[in-house]
Amino acid sequence: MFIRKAEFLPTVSAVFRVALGAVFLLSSIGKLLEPREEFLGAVRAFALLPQPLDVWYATLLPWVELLVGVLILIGFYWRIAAGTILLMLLSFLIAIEHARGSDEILAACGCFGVFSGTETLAEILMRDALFFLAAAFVFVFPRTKFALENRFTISRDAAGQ
Amino acid sequence: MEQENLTRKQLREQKRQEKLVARAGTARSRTRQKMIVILIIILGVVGLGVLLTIAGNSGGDTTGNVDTIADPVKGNTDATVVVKEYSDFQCPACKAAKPAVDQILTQYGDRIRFEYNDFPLRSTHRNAEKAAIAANCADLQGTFWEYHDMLFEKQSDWEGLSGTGLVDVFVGYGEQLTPDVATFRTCIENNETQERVNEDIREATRRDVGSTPTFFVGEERVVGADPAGLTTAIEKALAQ
Repeated sequence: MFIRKAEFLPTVSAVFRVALGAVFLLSSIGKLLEPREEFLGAVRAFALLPQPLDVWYATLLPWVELLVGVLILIGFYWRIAAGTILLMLLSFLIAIEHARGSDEILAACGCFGVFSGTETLAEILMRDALFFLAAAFVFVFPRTKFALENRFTISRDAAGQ
Repeated sequence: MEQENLTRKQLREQKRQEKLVARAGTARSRTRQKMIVILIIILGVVGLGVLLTIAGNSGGDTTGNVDTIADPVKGNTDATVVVKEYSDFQCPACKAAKPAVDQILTQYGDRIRFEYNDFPLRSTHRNAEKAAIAANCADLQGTFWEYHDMLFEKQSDWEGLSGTGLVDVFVGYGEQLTPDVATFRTCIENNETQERVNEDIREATRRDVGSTPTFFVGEERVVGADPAGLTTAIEKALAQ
């Protein structure tokens, strides 16, 4: 399929959006499908957040992931969603790097809840770093294709003509 | 001529006004559409989230500290002082704790009930969960403790393996210990004891276990292979 030069970067942004949306939807569904204690245990294993902040984080994170996953996937308020994803990934990267540097033995990253596989901390770090770069691209680049938001933007332009 | 010009002006103004009205109408319609989309997303996210949460919490008891699946036990099964260990077969510190546990059992075996609980550290030890599953499969055949000792003893032999190689090694240990090897293999291959492991993990999480080995003497926590700490906690519990 031939993509015009001007549409190449918005198409790349759309691909990143769909990939990030799928990942965050899967991650949230996996976390919501397991008892809350499991993810709370994973959060506590990182020993970074004081109580009761860890409880709030473990409770709210799957819901925020679900919301931003849907938003970035369909391309609605996608820059806000990408910004939120950047903040979440930053917190994950800090937590993983902290765990790598400490002597504490980590129970489970809890990244994908019931869908979690067996990954090493280095693999998780690498994966989250790639997601971070993708989210940064979506956030920084001002245009994207196949986004619901474009419907509203285009109709406004049309109205102004 | 002037009248004609004025009419043209009026016409232009009229057209401009019409455009403004149309634009305002489009903007209103766009805002309405956007609000509908937002409402659909909120309802969809909340609905899906609630359904998933209900599904996630309907799998078992998540409110108490009560074990619903029996754990492997040593010592006096009727004793009132219960010592629980949360351990990981691939964790070197858990292997190192074994002499301390043996010492405790020699010293207090007739007065305490010792329970083993799985807490495989999945992110750090990629084979720990499979080892826990295999040990629980051995438990179904009544050979948990022998298998437990074998896993710790041969920890360095299997910790680097993966896939079928790992399963073959775990089944191989079973050939020396379990009466029905075919059933044992099927049990490991199909992860038939996964729920037993999950239940232990949930229990450990409820009790805020963050590292292994962690012991509980009643409600008193002893972290790490600490024979002195364990002895003190057991003595205290026995004196009560």
